[in-house]
Amino acid sequence: MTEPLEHILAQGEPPSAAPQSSPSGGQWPGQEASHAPQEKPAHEASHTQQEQLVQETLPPNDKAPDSWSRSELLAFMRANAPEGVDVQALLPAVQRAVANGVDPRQMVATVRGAIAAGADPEQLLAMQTMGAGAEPSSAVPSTTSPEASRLRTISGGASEGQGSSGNQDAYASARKRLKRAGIIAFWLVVWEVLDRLVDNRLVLAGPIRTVQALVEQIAKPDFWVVCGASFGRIALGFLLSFAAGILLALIAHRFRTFRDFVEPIVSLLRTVPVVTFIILLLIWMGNQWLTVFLAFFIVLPIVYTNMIAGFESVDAHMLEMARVHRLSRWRTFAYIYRPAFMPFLVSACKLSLGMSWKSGIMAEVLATPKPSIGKEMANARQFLDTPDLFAWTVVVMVLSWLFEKAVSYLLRRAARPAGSLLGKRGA
Amino acid sequence: MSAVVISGLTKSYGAHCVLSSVEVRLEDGGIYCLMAPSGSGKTTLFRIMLGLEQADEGSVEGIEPGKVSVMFQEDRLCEDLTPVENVILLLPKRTDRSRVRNLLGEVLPSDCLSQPVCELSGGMRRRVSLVRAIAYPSQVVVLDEPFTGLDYAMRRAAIDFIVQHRAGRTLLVATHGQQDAQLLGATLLHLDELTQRNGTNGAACGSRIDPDTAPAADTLTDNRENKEVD
Repeated sequence: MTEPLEHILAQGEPPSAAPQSSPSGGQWPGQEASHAPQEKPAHEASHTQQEQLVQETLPPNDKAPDSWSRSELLAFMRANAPEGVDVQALLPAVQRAVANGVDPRQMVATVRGAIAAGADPEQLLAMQTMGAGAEPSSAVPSTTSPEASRLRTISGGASEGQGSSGNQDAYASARKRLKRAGIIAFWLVVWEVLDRLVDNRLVLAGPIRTVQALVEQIAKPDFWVVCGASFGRIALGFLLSFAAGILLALIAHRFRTFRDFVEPIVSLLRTVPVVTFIILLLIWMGNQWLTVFLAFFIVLPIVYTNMIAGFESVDAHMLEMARVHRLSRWRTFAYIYRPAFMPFLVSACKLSLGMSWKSGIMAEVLATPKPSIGKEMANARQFLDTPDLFAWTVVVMVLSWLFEKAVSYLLRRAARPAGSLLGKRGA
Repeated sequence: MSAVVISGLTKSYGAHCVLSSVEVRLEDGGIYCLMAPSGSGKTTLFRIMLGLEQADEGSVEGIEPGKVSVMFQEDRLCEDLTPVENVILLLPKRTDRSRVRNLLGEVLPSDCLSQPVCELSGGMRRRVSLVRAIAYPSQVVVLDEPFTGLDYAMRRAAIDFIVQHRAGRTLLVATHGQQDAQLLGATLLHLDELTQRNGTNGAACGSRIDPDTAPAADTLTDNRENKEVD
């Protein structure tokens, strides 16, 4: 048992750090490369390097990933896991991963590769059990990273700069922008230096490696499909629950009894942890529709409560004026209700947009619908591929930023005073 | 169109009696100025006439819903809309913008007509509100303190505007200024004198005016003929 492990360790090369050189000497004794199964598991098609490693270093197994029994798994791990790993403790996590369709052979290969790269088995255990463990939100650690705030400053700077006019202003805003760019560059350098200092690609990926990983991902043919699938699910969920929230608030505003009935449910929705919804929806809806329905539980309460507050902020004096002069329903809505609730709707949108992306991606990581960004991130976790995780995080941030831009543009259009529609323009 | 008849109107908020057996008859096409100190229930009377409030007792006849236009004590304008749009908002579809613009131009400088009303001064907003009430196709026009915040010249211009565009409608104006009433050629109404002397009707609200000092309500309608302008 120890002999093959030493064999691997003697290679001294972490498998994915040198992906080009396939470990030709890394085969187990008595096993030929030709014994490896020819067909690759379709669900892991994007991770060909690791797969190759698995096929060449582990005994072939034609078993479907989800048909492993507990004792079979235990025996398999005992036989193949590297020394120093507590197989018993790792088993629940492995079982869960296998239940989600991950090949145990790949997991073992990943663990072996990580240990070869110098990772602590304890730490490894923590990372591997993360998905089933206590803190699921840590599955998307980089959403609060410097990148996120940088993206925010960039977008903020762009919109601030538009309003200024005149040479003096233009000069000042140019200086401001330059300063901001300098600060961003500073943090990028800090990030890169930190990466060089740590010099462990499992722990941190610097900007250069992140960009490399990103370029690699974009080059893949299914990159846009993956992005589109995640974007589509989250956008659809967001827009549906956005509309539903407005509608519910409208009805609740009109009918007090309805509101009394809905209110406790909404406050319930606000306090239930997101993970509970994810787990429940996984049971109810399956993983494909998970993110669409998840948005309902995240976005709906925010939009609903804000819209209620918005409707309540409508000036009762103006409604009286409309009533006396028999203003039509449509005009009352467009010219008295709309200006009052739009600010509330905009703030609800800002709040729930970010949340729907964060929780949506988290749900995808846990549920791994196919194709999705979350699944790619889960894979990155599985293979301890930190640069990939960073790269996908950047993709998520860009997509959510684009979505927010699009939505806030539409909202700005909807909030514009529509007085020019009134009356007929005489010649 | 028929006369507006208010009879036995009583309204109280809790223990506080606001209106007690108010009796008024507003002849069709007449101009009336309601002289009343603040807090005497004049706004409540208007609100009941406009159907915004229910009277405890009594009735208002002769005002069709949607056939009364009002200028409230507050401006109640759509802040984002221009004066032209604020006025045209209450008018039927396909109303010609240039007609409304001309109407507003009579009391407002023309360069402010394209600005949102939130950028206008208090006096300008007041005039927009006035034009809106006058422009609305109604049978009765109710103006609650229309001249507050206007200087003497503007007051004159506003009164001229009202008289010119009244088009024979019944006009009820609440104001403190005796002079305004004269310029309008209005019949004066004093709210505390409109309360009916009949003790049994007024019993709904505890304290009432001494019957001997209050003139009969119907005498008020008699002396308006010589003040008509239109």
